Order: sequence, then structure tokens, then C-alpha cells
Amino acid sequence: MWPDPCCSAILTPGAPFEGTVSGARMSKFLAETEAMILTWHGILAPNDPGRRLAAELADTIAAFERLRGTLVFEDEPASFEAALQATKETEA
Amino acid sequence: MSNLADLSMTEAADAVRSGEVTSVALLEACWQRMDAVNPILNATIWTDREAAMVAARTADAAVRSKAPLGVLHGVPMMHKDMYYQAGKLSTCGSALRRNWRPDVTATVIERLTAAGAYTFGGLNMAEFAQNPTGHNKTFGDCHNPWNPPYITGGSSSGSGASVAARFNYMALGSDTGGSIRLPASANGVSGVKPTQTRVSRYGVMPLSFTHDNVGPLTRTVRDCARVMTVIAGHDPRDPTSAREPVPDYEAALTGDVRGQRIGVPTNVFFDDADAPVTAAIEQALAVLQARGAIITRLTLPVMDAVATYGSIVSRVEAATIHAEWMRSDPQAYGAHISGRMYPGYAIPAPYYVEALSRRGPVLRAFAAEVFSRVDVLVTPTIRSCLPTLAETDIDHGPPGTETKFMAVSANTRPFNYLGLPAISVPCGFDPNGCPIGLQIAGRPFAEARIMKVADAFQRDTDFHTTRPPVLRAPAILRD
Repeated sequence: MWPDPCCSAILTPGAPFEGTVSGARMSKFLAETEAMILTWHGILAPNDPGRRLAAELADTIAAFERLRGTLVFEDEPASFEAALQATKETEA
Repeated sequence: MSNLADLSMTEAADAVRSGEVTSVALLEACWQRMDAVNPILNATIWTDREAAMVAARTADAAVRSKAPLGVLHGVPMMHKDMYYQAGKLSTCGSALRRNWRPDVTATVIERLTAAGAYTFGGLNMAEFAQNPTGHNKTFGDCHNPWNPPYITGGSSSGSGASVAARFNYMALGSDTGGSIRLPASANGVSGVKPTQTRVSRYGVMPLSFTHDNVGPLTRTVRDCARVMTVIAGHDPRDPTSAREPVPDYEAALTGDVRGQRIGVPTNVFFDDADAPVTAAIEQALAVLQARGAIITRLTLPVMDAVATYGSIVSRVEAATIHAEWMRSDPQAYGAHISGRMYPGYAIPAPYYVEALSRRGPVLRAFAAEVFSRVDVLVTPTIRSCLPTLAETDIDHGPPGTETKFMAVSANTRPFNYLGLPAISVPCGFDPNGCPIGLQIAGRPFAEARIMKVADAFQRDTDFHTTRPPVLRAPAILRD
């Protein structure tokens, strides 16, 4: 079942990236991302769409960076249920 | 009524309860229609006609004996194939669960059964509820009853197609990023994504435990309201379900929207929208305005945070619950499924926790600014004219197909992170004859209000009663 022959050219972490995002910097980012996923999760890139979408994590990081400074020290996941109650419909 | 399968769910239920028709007759009408059109649509994964006929006869016997009857008594249904029924097949749309039979029954199925409904099959769906289009590598793509080369929307593809093609009175869908509203929009039916925590998810296949929602797809808003009254409410087996009281949603459908403040976003939701879609929404707004609603254009706050955080949370949660199969059998998934999950493993835990931690404050900021000015928001459910299955086929398409694929759910995803209730109802047709959906969202637990507005719209329009062209196939013309 593995490796996927249709994308064997870019199975090796560090190999040139041939997807929609080009450039050495993106190839390095993708290679590092693939290596990290393999190290931490034991999961290989399943296919080219996976690689292309992994490369787009660079956009996720950029978007996240733009939100830096908004997290408040007391924020925590459980505050969501409280927010649902605080903002809920009181009359139809 | 020339064909019982054309009844709405509430009409069918009320007809059985009054003794006007039998449940057996409803079931047979659905089967006959299904046999005629499903070879074109591929909306089902399995059926159990024998058990369904037993249930139908039992329902009819209860009517004859004048036993107490539930509000869905004798109504046959099929649901997205991820609602567990102990001992019955539940494929979750995947080869990995092709023969899987759970040993528990979902609370929502138990509640529907207690109200008198029964199931007669399992519906096609995106693999593990993970696409907005209706592609399925294992069971085959689901096709749109209005124009079969076009997408049905997903992930509740068979739910939308079967209800639209009028061989199923009601189907449960699940909505993690739009999976109820998208097929509702694409197939020209009504679909409700409730407030996060409003409906129990016990016994329902998980995808993203903070974003998953259970809700109905039906032909009318009234049908949705009746189902919501049955399935909503706290469930001790789902500790995340809210203890909020459940109103009689059907009773709230008064048609009176005078003074309702309807907000129309000027940012995000109409970005790059196709002209036929924008025109249909404007016409829908005019209908509501004529009923006395007040239209306000406004810029929505915190949308960058909603998009960024929401995408992080759902991707990490989906990746996490599929990690074992992604290690052991990744090629069992469609390429667009495994490919989309793969980046989730690279998102750092502090990103995920921050995204979850900001959810409450972001909701508060959004609600304070928006719901102080308007009661509901109206947007297109899908911004573009419906794409074809080929145009959104990541598995076989060129690089860049992902962009078209992801654009389908751009207008629905925000309400999942925000946890807000939203409904999609049909409001027009694009140049290819495919339906256009009107999305109406409200503040937390405002299901009654959004359904009231949507029902008012349906009182003055006939998009929801228009039959799709697939019903004009020769086999159907005979009935």
C-alpha cells in the first residue's frame, strides 16, 4: 500500500517540492513539516494533495501571527459554554 | 395527492395519525420512488426493507388500536450512515467501516423512534463526514437530483439528495463545517444546524468534538421544527449537551416577522459571490422585507479570528481521531480525505489550545456587536453557482482543485466555530438549474427565531415545493 507510486518523486523529506507553492523556502518548510509529522506521529504524507495542503500551513502560521496579542491570560476552552449562555436568545 | 412520497414529513405524519393513510403505504411510496431515481443519484448505502415493513405494520396496528401516537408516528426515514443503531450497519461512508456494526444506538435515533418514526436504510455521505461536495471513493459519488453532474454538497450528501428526490421524508445530517446546510442548499431542501450543545451527539460518529452538530434535512421548515422539538435537549449520555429548555419549535412558526431585524454582512460572505447567487439573496430579502422585516447592512467583527481559529480546531480534532488509521491504512481513505487531514498533525498544541481558548471571547465579541443591532444574519449558504463533481474532484483533478473544493463551505464554517444556529432554505436556482440556498443564523439557542424567519419566507415562495428534474425520468412519470 505504501509508498504511493504516484508521488514517489517527492516522498523523501527535503526533496524539491513540485506542487502549487514553489521556491526553495517553501520546499524547506514542507520538508521540515513532513519530517516533524513523521517524527511526532509516525505518519507519512499520503499523497500530493496532502503535501500541497501541508505547504499551505505557512498561510495558517501567518494568519495566526496576525492574531497574536489577543489571547488573555485567563482565557480557557471552557469559557465557550459560558459565552453561549451569556449571549443566548432570551425571547423569540 | 397523487403520490404519497410527495408529502412533506409533517403531512405524512399527520396523515398516518389521523388514519387517512397507512405507514405501509408511505413506505411503499418511498420505495417505489427510490427504486426509480436512486440508480441516478446513488444516495443510499444500504436498505433494510424487511425490518422497515415490520415497523410500518406495527405502526399501523397502533393506529387501529387507538394507542397513544408520537408526532412522527409511522414516518419512514433514512439517515446519514453514521447514526449508530445497535446491531445495524453503520459504514460512516468509509471502506474502513464497510462492515461495522455498533453495539449502541444514538440518542437522536432513540428519540425519533420514541416519537414513532422508523428507519429503512442508511444514506450515502462523505467519507467520515469529511467533504463539502458528496464525493465518495468507496460507495461512489452522490449525484444532484437537479442536475446529476453537479455536487450534492456534503458531507450529508445522501440526506440532501434523498429528501429532495422525495423518497425520504426526513434525514439526519451532521454539521461540522456546513455538512447539513451545504447539502440543504445544493439540493433545494431545508436544513438546520443547531446551536453547539443543543442536540445530543451520543452514538454519532465523531469528527470534531467541539464543532460537530446533529440536525435535520427536510423539505419544509415546519418539518425541521417538528424534528428539532423531538431531538433537542440534554442527554445524560452526552455531557456536552445543554440543559437549556426545549420549546415547541413548530408553535413558533407564526409567519409574523414584523420588526425582525435582519442583518446582511458587507464583508466576507459576499466576497467573490456569483451574480445569480447575490440576486437570489436580494430577492429573498425583499420577500422578508415585504413581510415587515427590517434589513440592515453591517460589517461583521472578528471574522479573521473566526476563520483562523476555526480551521485549526477542526483540523486538529479530525486528525487526532483518525491517527491510528492514518498510520496503519492511509490509502483506505480518498486522497482528498487523507490529504486534508495530514496537515492537522503539524499544528502545534499551543495553537490548538489558543484557538479553543479564544472561542468564548470571540463569540462574546461577535454577539455583542452583531446581535445588539440585528436579530438574525442572512447570507448565501454557498457563494458560488454550484460546481460540478469533476471541478471539485481533488483525487483526480489538477493541483489547485482544493481551492474550488474548499470554497464551497466558506460561508458555513464560521458559524461552527461561533457555535451559532443556522438554517439553509432554498431561494432560487442558478443558470445550471441547481438550487441556491439562503442561510439564516441567529444568536445561541435562537433556533425558534431562525426557523420562524425561514418559515415566513417559505409561506411566500415555492422553491421548497418545486420538484427536481430527476423526478421527470420516465419511470417516475408512470406513477
